[in-house]
Amino acid sequence: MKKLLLYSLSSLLLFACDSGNTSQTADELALQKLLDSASTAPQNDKLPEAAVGEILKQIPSPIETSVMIKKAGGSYNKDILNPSENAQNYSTNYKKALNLGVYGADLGYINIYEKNKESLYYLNSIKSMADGLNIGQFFDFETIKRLASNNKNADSLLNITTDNFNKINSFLYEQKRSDQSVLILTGGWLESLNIMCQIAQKNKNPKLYERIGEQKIIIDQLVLVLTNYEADNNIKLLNTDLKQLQEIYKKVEIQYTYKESKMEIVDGIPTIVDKSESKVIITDAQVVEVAKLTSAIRNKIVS
Amino acid sequence: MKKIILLTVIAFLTYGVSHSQFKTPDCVAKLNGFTFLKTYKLDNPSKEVEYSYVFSKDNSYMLIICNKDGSQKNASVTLYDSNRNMIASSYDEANKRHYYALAYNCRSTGIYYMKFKFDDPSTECSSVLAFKR
Repeated sequence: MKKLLLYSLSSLLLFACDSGNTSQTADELALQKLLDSASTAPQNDKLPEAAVGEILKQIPSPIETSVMIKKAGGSYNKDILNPSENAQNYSTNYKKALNLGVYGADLGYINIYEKNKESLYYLNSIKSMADGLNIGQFFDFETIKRLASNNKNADSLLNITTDNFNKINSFLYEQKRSDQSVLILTGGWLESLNIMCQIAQKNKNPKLYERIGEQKIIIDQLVLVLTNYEADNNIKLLNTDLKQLQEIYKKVEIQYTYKESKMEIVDGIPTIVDKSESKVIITDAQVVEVAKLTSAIRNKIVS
Repeated sequence: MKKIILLTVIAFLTYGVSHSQFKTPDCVAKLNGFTFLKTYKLDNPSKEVEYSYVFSKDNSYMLIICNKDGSQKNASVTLYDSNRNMIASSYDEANKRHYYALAYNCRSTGIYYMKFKFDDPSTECSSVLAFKR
């Protein structure tokens, strides 16, 4: 890991030199300083905070997973969600942050299936977690509850809750509480993956299998950023579990074929017709392995 | 793993990163059936800004650019795949025309890079990423 980071930073400086840009920004200077310290103090193998923030912004929204599950024909199953009443069991910030992510993913799943009445229970759980972390101000619960009371407001409900979670992540980053932001995203990702695995194992849909395999990209990113916060023993243990999951994913292959794309103007908007393709090679046995371990890690979080 | 670290750190160094969020009603109003995912504040028009996101196969995405006044003049976004191959731009070089949005029907899951450029340094913009349900 240390070697990897040093290698990355060295490559980065070479790249920067090649860019022909002679003036250094504050970020560049900060990174230069980090590189200098990395060469003299190899114990420090942390990613720069800005790089952590950038990685976190890459993680797809759980909403996308829920939409894909619905498109794949998965029927709504509330039994696979974390019961909303469990919220009262989470007393530490570590558990609150993780389960805020879990409930956020559950709420996305509920909203996609337009179970608006159900969503009210989960909104209360989210409020409880968010208030406990002193970030409840980012949720306008009255507006959200009003929207949730009518099935016609599903789009607005999705938009506002997604925006609220984005704002929370930005706020935590700016407040130097990135560890909590990482935990929220990790909780949401694990819950989405667990929902996807539970449904995929029932209906054997190849699209779901492929999507489970694609999570190889995300787990690499999460393990990388969680490593930054391993001074916290809870996060270290969580990352140890995720590294086991990452080991399973190392056997999954993603093949990528690049072909130049084409562009058309559709309704006045340039629309890219992608010719590149990716293909995921994942076996039934690997899906079972991923599902079992994901469920085990997720159960530690929600228990 | 190496590739992810390298590309991420390069992205971080080369371009500014903003984590502020702000309301973008003009952009959101243009979603037209797409579901909102992210807002990107483009608060330093004197230089290019880059963000990245994992796009998923078989999903359709829309990137919308809005100036503070609701227009899209003088700002453009160019999309690159995980290997930094350019996919397309919202700026039509041949006709010198800016489009307010760029749509992408993704067929390969991976990290994609969105590079925002400004012709006019006084431009204050934001961008919204959305996907088709």
